[in-house]
Amino acid sequence: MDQILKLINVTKIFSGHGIVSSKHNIFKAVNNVSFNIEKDTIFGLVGESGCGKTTLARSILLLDPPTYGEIVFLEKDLTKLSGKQLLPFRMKMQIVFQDPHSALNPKLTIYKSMKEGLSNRNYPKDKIKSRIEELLDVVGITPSHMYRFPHEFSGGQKQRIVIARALSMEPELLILDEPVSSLDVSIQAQIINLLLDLKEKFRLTYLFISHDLNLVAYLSDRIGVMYKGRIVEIGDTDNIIDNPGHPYTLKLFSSAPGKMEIGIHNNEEKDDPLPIPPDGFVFSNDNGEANTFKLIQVEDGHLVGCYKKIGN
Amino acid sequence: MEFILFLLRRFTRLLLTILIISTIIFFVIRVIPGDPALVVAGIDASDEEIQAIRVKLGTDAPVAVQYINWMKDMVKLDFGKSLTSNQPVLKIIRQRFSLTFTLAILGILLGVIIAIPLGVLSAVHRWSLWDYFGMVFSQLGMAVPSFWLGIILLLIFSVKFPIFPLFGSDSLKNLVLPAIALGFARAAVILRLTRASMVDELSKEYIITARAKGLTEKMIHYRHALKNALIPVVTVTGIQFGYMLGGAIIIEQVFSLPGLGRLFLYAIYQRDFPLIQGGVVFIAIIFSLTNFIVDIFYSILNPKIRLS
Amino acid sequence: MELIVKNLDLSFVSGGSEAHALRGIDFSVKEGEIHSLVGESGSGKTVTSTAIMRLLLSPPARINSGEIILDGINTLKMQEKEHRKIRGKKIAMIFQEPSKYLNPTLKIGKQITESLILHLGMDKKEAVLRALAILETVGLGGGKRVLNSYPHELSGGMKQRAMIAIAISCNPDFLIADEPTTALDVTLQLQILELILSLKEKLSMGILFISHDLRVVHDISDRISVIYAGKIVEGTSKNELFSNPLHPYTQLLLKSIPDAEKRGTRLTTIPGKVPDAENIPTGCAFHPRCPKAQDICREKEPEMKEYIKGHFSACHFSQGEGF
Repeated sequence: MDQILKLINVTKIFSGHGIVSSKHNIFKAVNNVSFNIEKDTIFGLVGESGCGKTTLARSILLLDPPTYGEIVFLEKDLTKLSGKQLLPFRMKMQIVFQDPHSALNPKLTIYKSMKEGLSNRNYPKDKIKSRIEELLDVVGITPSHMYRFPHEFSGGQKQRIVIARALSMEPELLILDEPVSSLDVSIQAQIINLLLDLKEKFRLTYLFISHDLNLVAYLSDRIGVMYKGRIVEIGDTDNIIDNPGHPYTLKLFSSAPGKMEIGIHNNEEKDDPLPIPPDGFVFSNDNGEANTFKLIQVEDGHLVGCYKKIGN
Repeated sequence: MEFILFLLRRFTRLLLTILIISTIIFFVIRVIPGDPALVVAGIDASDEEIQAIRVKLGTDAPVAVQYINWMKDMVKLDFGKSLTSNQPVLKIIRQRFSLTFTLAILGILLGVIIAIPLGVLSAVHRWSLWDYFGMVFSQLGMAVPSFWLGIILLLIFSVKFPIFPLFGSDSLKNLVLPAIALGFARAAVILRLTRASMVDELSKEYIITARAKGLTEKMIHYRHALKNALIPVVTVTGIQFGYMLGGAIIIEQVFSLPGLGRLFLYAIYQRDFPLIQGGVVFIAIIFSLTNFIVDIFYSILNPKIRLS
Repeated sequence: MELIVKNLDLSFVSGGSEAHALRGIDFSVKEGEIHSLVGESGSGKTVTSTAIMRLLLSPPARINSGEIILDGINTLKMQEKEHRKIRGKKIAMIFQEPSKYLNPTLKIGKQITESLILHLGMDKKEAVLRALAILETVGLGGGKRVLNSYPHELSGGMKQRAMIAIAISCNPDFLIADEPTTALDVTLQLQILELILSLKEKLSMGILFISHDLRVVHDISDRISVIYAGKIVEGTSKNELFSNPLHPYTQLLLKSIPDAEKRGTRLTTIPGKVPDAENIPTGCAFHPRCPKAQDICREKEPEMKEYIKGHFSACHFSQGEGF
């Protein structure tokens, strides 16, 4: 099995209707997203707030099942499984969120927080404590501190604990939704290094979600760019960095801080030319002159999303 | 525009609430043991007389039919006639209500006028003399039973120093002492809430922005913090007012006031179905209306709520 | 005109403990210059900015020594009444999370005009006109819509612009920006940074920009000061700092930033964490985490020296052409 996770046309629609309002408000938070993640790789999903990346993560975990589409994990379509059947798969897919403060129950000691998961897995009772010690050690937390409460730890340490807890499930896929965004820069580096070490040690696959393009470019083997619920570009990291095909990708690159692109003179010539859509396609559908969104292959494994012009 | 939609939504909710409450009351009353026909007929009545009264009252019909009839009447605002006095229920309630209403207004006004400024001062000058005074006041207000206070007030201001009349209900003077007795307890609650709410607001981040703009402390307290702090206070005050409208039974007893509270107590003892039903529905309507008005005030103070 | 912070030393005292938050901060911001103060959480950067605005509550804050000189006057010695007159008028501040820092029940227009009326003595009509002009400047033009809006009716980026509008309404000489873009997405961040740059150019404002992100700071700063455990450890022009960092802390910070070029290698990390203000290590506060640390670092606190012209560093082992 090469591809640990396959998303096929995953769509999540939210509809809202009020008692007094007559319209059905339909909102496609995730719109026909398809991509695959190879085992032992890091797939970076890049996008800004509201693009649907967190909704997508929740759909993959089936916390908020997709409206339609398939989520094939370890060769099984999860959307077709019942609650009981899902359980073993659920354990193999874990998530680490951005905010470690709300991920840990402030009223439970670290030991209790981590014990819960292991007990639920029917881990042998007498071995739980030593397993917890092992896991904490692996993430760089002094094992004897396990009887402390979350508020006694710093942000970075809490995030390590959350990672340890995720690892206690012995997952194969780890979904990380902005795991370091709320941490200081030097702590970020520590956690990133930790994640890379853990990946090697436990042969993990990562779906790394972030709005920080620099970070995603550093970490990922493959990148998917998400905008307004759709994947607008996808490809190997090198290809995307050297040859961004979609204007939104280029916008993300040029907005990333640390590059001297910033200037208040709007007439400045930009060195990078704007990407050109393939023949018969346009990048945006604002004028209504196109329909059918498609991902077009521009080079090996590198696809760019555009709209097919009407009449083509 | 959205404000009007908001009002419409709230109003619909109001009607629904009244409908549900009246239905519940209807069925609850019928569960209470005691046949009203017996009450009206008297102990010596024969079976035929009782049955005739049942027909007259409409209690012989199946419950569902009774309910439909009652609903039909309700829409016309016809709550039927009281069993004990044979007067139209609505008329009786209206008479009593005006007194209760006035008393409630006076009580809550008194409470608010004392409590809110004191609460604000306490919050702004924490641990000062004002604050201690406020704390003592609110402790007393919550500990002292209002009927006891009522009696004491009567003793001092009606008996010892005859400033206010002992009983009767014709003039406003009669309502001063009961209003104080009622208002005292209300003030205590509102004061504590105002203080807590103000303290809470003053620790929020937008106050830092206000200070960074060089605004005076007065501006910060009264133009920025107060408006936000009053939001929970208004809600609680409104609810308190709603309760008082239901009739402050004990105060009415102490001061011998012919208010709603005493009326309902009496009606329940007498199994006066129409009066009880009509009364409860009436209170439900008043309470819901009060909430509705509170909601409006709330949305004026807090623009975020207009979207919900 | 300059904003000069001289030897600012400040502690927080509560119960029996004392947190020595600032241990002698020195820097200055000139008009028309963006000076960034970079540090991690707990370094004292936010305390510095709040202290300059005199927004700290004393107690528990206690100024041990130092001066904050604005327009030649030591503002620390002013009466509160006097200082209030320059807050919002001569020096203003914007904050990190606009949703929390804007009054939710007051319209944006009101929040702008109240400063104008208070500090500049305008009447309502004038103030509204001026408010509209300011909103235009920050990119919130287009009539009275924003003026009459409540904060929750605006998007994140718009709220931040509104906060900037409120701060610059009286055309202050100096603006303190405390992590204004940290909570924003990348594209919005760029817009706000561009806006701040334009304020510097168009209005000749001196801006103290506080951040933990060296990359953000790279884009807009003229000068950068790096703060660690309540002390400035390095200060120089932007270009110098990035091309020739002298202090080990700065060097390590730069090395720990992830970017595409570093792919395949591990990021350099700084072991340990920023010390609590209650427990500052002896000698050089950075020595427990510093790869170059020697005995002298534990014993003696390094002085801030100008190793290269305009380039200051507080480390025993910094070198320069001598100056």
